Amino acid sequence: MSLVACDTCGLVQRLPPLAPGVTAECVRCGGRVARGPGGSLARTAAFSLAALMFYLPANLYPILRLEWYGTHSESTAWDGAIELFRQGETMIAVIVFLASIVVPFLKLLALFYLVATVRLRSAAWRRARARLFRALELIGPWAMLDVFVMSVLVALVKLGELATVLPGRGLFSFTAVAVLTMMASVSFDPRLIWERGDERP
Amino acid sequence: MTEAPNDATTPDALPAARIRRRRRYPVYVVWLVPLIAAVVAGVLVYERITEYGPTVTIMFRDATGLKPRQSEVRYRGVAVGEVSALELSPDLAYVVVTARVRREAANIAREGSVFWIVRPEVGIETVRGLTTVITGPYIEVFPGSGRQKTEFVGVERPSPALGRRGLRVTLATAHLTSIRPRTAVYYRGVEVGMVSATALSGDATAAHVRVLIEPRYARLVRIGSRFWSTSGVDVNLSLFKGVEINIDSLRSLIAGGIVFATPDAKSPPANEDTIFVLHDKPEKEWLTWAPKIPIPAGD
Repeated sequence: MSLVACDTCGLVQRLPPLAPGVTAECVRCGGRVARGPGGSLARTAAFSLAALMFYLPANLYPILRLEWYGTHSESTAWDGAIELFRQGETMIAVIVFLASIVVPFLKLLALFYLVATVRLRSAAWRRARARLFRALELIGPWAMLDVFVMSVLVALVKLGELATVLPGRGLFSFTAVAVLTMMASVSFDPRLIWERGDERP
Repeated sequence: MTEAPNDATTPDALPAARIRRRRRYPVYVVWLVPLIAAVVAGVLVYERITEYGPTVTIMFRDATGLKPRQSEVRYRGVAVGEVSALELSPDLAYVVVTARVRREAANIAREGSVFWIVRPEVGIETVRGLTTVITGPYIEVFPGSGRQKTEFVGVERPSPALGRRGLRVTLATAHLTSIRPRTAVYYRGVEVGMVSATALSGDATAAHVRVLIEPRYARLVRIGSRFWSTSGVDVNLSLFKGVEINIDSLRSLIAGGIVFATPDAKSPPANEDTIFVLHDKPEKEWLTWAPKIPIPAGD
């Protein structure tokens, strides 16, 4: 038997050990206060894995299209960064590269790391891992930054209204990566990091 | 979890959280998500990888306006590939254009394929490639029929007869006037063919005009046929009739033309590579020839 405080209304209440597949709700406001074991880790791992699957096509297909009357050129996120770099826009090239290629990948790596350490019941670096997860949650809402940065910056820097974001397979994959990563980080229960019951910080 | 014994909120006094069974599906169902993702992503990657087939290189004298990743390779107006790189040949004599050909159009890269760059062209009688003023030049290809090949030498401009079937005959003349490739060939004023090329004969004693007659009209050309060139205007000064001016058509007035007549249907049809003399002007008699030659129905 442990105690939990409801995230929503703050009521402290007793929490009996939960069976798998069971959730506990606040007696006062009905908000969820705890989830039974299992599920969280599997969901996080599954969504992360699915996001990783789409990572490859997201960077293979063009997401940006520059139209110029009859002709067009299509560029992937990578091409866009390279192109910007060639044009001397080093800063923007770095931002685009980080936002669209590095950060999504690092996010997935971080999730896999969290899942693996919880799974192995590791007690090391728990404080750091909790902080890592908070960082993940912080950049969560910015998950679509990649496409956003690409579309706005490249459009501004290059040909203005002649550049459009391709609503094609590239964007679909990009969105899939972003959404699945978000679902993965939402599924992750940070309490699992502290589950071994070691009370020292 | 230590609390003051006198506190009202001892653990036992606290309300217990409500337990609710929520899951409607077993945990492993979530693993279907990466499974489906793997299939979809796999298909996407596979399609991307197999989108482009062979890479070909084409050597051009001049690649003005071609841009990597932008200029298209087209066949019959449809994009079949894309220029991926432009580099100079080691001896600086050519531009080596590397192009990726779409998988479904891989067959355009064959022995005998002709590549040329379409640019805006304003001639005395026609304007061609006007769209390329805005879009920039593109590479047009006419596929050959030989074996698959990846290295080509582009031509400056294709022969107008490229890819057209028909009877090819050669006309020889001492001096070429206004006849150029694409000059029309007329029979009774109807356009039945065109000049595909002009060149000097092998020993430089005559000018050769290569003519392509449309297949439908090929039978009109017989061994006894006479060809003459027309500048379109025919001015006759005559003591009794005064001045007589004949104008064939505005086009032939500007660009000239070739006319031919055939004496009768009995002489054997001309075959490929028959050489005719190209006369300067017709004899009166030729203009009266009107043999009955059945021609296939056409449109």
